[in-house]
Amino acid sequence: MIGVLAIVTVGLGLTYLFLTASAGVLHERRARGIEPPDGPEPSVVFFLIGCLNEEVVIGSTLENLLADPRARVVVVDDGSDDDTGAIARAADPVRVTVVRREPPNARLGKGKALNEGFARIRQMVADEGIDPAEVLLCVMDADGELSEGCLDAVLPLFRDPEVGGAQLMVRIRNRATLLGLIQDMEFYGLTATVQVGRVATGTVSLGGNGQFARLTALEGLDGDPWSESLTEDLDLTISLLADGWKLTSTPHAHVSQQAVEQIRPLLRQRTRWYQGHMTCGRRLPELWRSPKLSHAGALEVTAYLGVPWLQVLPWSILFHLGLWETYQVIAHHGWDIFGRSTNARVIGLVLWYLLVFAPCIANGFLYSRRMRSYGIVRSIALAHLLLLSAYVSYVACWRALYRMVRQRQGWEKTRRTEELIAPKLALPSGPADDAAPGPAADLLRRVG
Amino acid sequence: MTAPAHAVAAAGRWAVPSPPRSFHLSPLRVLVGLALLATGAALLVLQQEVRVLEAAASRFPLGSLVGEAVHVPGTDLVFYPDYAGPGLRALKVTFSCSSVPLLAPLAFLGAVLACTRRLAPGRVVLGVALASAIVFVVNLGRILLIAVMTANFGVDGYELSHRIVGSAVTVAGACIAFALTFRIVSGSARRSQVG
Repeated sequence: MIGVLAIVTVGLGLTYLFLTASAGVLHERRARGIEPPDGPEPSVVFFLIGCLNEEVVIGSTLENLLADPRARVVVVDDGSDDDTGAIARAADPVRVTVVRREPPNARLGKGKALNEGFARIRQMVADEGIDPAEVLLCVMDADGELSEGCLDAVLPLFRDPEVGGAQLMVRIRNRATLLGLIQDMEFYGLTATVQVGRVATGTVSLGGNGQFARLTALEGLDGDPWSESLTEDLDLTISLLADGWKLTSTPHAHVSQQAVEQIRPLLRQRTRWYQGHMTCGRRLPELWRSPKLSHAGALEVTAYLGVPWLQVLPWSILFHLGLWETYQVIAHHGWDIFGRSTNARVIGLVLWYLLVFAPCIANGFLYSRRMRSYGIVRSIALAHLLLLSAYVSYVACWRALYRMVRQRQGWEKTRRTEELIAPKLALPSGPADDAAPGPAADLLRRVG
Repeated sequence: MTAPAHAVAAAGRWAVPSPPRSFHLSPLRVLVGLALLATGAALLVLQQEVRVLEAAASRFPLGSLVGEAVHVPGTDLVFYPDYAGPGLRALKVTFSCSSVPLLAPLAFLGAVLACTRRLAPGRVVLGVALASAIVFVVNLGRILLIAVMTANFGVDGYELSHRIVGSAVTVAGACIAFALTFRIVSGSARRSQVG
């Protein structure tokens, strides 16, 4: 029975991954040759950054954003105790607007901070007589940095009038550490390919960093765009999809951010993400009732929201039961389970390895397509480290379930790592331009 | 608003909205859902009969591959020559080797999908039926693979084909079945007019 449950669980999970990853690979190949559609594209981009004690990173982030003359920035200083607001104001008094929130109307969650920034942007657009249809909004984390030429890759996506939002692929900057490298492989390998694959159904999930949306799409929603959910970005995704907007992505740009460099904060972060993700499942009926969402989109989002329930939680148990069963069989029958001859055992072990580690191998292959400096062999070898992140996921998902049962919602934000970059270089965008950071771009880290 | 053709192509052909004709939980949906539920339950209750059918279905192709095969009527046993040693081998289609463990969940999944107010019950039935056929055929292929490998390589062939290669074939068959179900129930990629 364990085997049957394992096959159904693995079958569903692999089906979802195979379909979305295949679509992602195909889309990336096609995207190189396809000209963007004709039509107007937004000409004004407001970057919206919610900040709580981000003095360590906000300066370099603003420098990166303001390098594009089309960019304007609204920084919501959510009751910071440090110099976040002062650093932001000093970056560019004309193109940077700082919205200061004071207690008791501060530190009430990222959603509320973003909504206040959104209200300010709407006011600015109205005051300056800008056509809202020309405006794009991009939510960034305080440590986010866009790849070179990002807006040139993103703005044409919005020539399609049905596209309401776009999410950039995510990269990790401080990947010289083991945890940083694992997180980069997670984000920039299979996950990025799957995200691009979801362009086929128009259901790319928006994240908290590099989240582009039409101002008009956000204005058309009932109520404030960002909820009080732990994953307000996923909540916004569902709202936009239910409202009939397509959400897309591009393989030609990405946003980089800091990795969490210690296990405990990483576990907290992932627990929060899983709790938010699992809680969003209660909005599935809304999606299934929406006449503006395709059947394929409804099925895809259902599969995506079902990942913690149908994949992570069951597999965390089945995997270990399977290991225990294998151990029992080997203990009783020895290595005969792989055959009696040496040749058979070698072949059996190789095939067993390929079968069990297929997701790691696939992730490594996909990562090597973007990180050509690493090489395919090295990427696949490094991808085996993802087994460690699998255990982080298992623990985080169960903790999230426990917190949901106990109705615990409060979370502390993740601490930032200070980066000293000499000299400052933007990471190249897209796999064709990928290059390993050279000595001149080595990062010196100091935990703030 | 009708999107330009190139915009549809750029955004993905499956992103085109295809709203359901009705949002009501009709008696037909309930009937189809119950029928699929009953089918899944029947497969589990009558799993012995399904295994007998699978054993009988394997006799002819297995005989073609190994020279001769004999199905014992009313059982899940098929006998065939052992080329790795003297005597005969017996292939027994156990529950875990049968396609029932995948067919029943497919039917239950279909029952859930049929009762949603979005998907066409006819497409759900078609999707589940075709997927079930694929599962049956792939599992039959797995059984034949095990039998042929065992006939030619003895215990080594059995262990490799049964534990590892067979598992991969089963998972691949499940993936194809789920993917096909998804493709069929999600409907045509062409734009449908809002009625």
